Amino acid sequence: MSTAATADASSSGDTTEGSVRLLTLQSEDGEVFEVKETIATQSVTIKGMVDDDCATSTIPVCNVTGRTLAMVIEWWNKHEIGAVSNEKELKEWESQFDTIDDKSDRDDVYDLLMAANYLNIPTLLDCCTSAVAEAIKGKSTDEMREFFDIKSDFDEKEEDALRKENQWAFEN
Amino acid sequence: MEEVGVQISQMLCDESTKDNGDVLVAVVGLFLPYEIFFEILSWLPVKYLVRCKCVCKKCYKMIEERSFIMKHLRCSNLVKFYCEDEVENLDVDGIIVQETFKNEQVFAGLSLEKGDISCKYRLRNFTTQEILYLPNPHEDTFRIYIFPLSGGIKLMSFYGDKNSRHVNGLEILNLDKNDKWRPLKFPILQRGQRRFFNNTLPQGLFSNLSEVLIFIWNGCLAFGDLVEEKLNLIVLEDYRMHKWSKTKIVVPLTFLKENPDLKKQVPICLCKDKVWFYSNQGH
Repeated sequence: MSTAATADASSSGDTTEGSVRLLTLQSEDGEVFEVKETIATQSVTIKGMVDDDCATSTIPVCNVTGRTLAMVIEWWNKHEIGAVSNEKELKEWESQFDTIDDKSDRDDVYDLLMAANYLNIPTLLDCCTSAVAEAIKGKSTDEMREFFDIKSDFDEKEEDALRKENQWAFEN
Repeated sequence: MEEVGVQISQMLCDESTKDNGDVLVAVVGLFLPYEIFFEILSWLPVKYLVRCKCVCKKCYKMIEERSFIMKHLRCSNLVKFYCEDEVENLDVDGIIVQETFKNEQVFAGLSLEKGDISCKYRLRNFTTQEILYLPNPHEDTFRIYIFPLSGGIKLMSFYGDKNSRHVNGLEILNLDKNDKWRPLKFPILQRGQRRFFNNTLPQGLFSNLSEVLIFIWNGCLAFGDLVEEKLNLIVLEDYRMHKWSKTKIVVPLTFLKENPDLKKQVPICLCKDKVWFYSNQGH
């Protein structure tokens, strides 16, 4: 972080609410969020910054949009350590990842994955990767390509050979 | 058909490994980094991994990589069972006889099996049920072992006097390269890179040496025995320094109470926090 940014945000960044410190996070598109430190430190990246005393000013969360960051914060709130979380509510919220049907669902999960990866939130990363894996189960090779936006670089002969080698895996 | 498969694996092996991340990102249009892709696929059952291998060459390469296979094995269930001795028909001079393949060793999800009549060896992949017949080793071979070496898997055959098990020589087979059995000079091997170390098992640890089990414990050689529902083991932590674990490690296996039959099976592999059992009864 540049020194200019530190000086600029020092007035707003280090606010406290009771005994809980609030951290200010700024998304890539400029949206600002105030989050309790105890919650935000579920991110290993942010925890590192707090431990190194680098979290006194606005923390820029690059590559993560305000929309995605809001989802991440929702996740944090529901998974706060020590919080009495409502099992049912938690399951309900997580179940939105159960069906990744269309492109927009998929893009949401991808955005969350990227944010979880950048912020290093192992639980969210596990949840999203397993959700994507669930979505892939049952898909054919072509459907997988479509899902990941990958073009095959096998020629027909090579792909045929690969399929024949493991015929069993291609039967439903 | 097989040839094409081999060509693909060779072609992919030839490509340098350093470009993993970047190239996959370029191939996966949606900027999913390599490590995330890796995590996603590690949740998938083998059936869908096999399908995924056909998606593109980078996917194929990633799924075939040892680091991925090991990760996937770690994520699988706690106890795995391996079933049945397989019977196959064998044509001996026009007469069909039944040959039974018996399991000799299990390593990293692979089972080394030996036919009782033809004495042919083969490797079976439990999850995909693929079978690879090995070229014939030295005619006096009495034992073959699977072991990991520099990222791949190799097989070592010991030949000599079958009764006294006196070793006259060694051969090595490199599975990655469609190799033939190559003799190794004993005890100093080629290029001076591989060496043999003699270690002596501390005395008085096991009451009955003939029942001692040998297996891999977090990458180290370990010896152990099953007493009641506990596995007692000692680990050779550093074979160069002759360093054994200071005390016997005791692993309680409470599920053995419910499944006493399992005691007859051999715990083959202990990896991190998981114990793998392989059973040859119909579980």
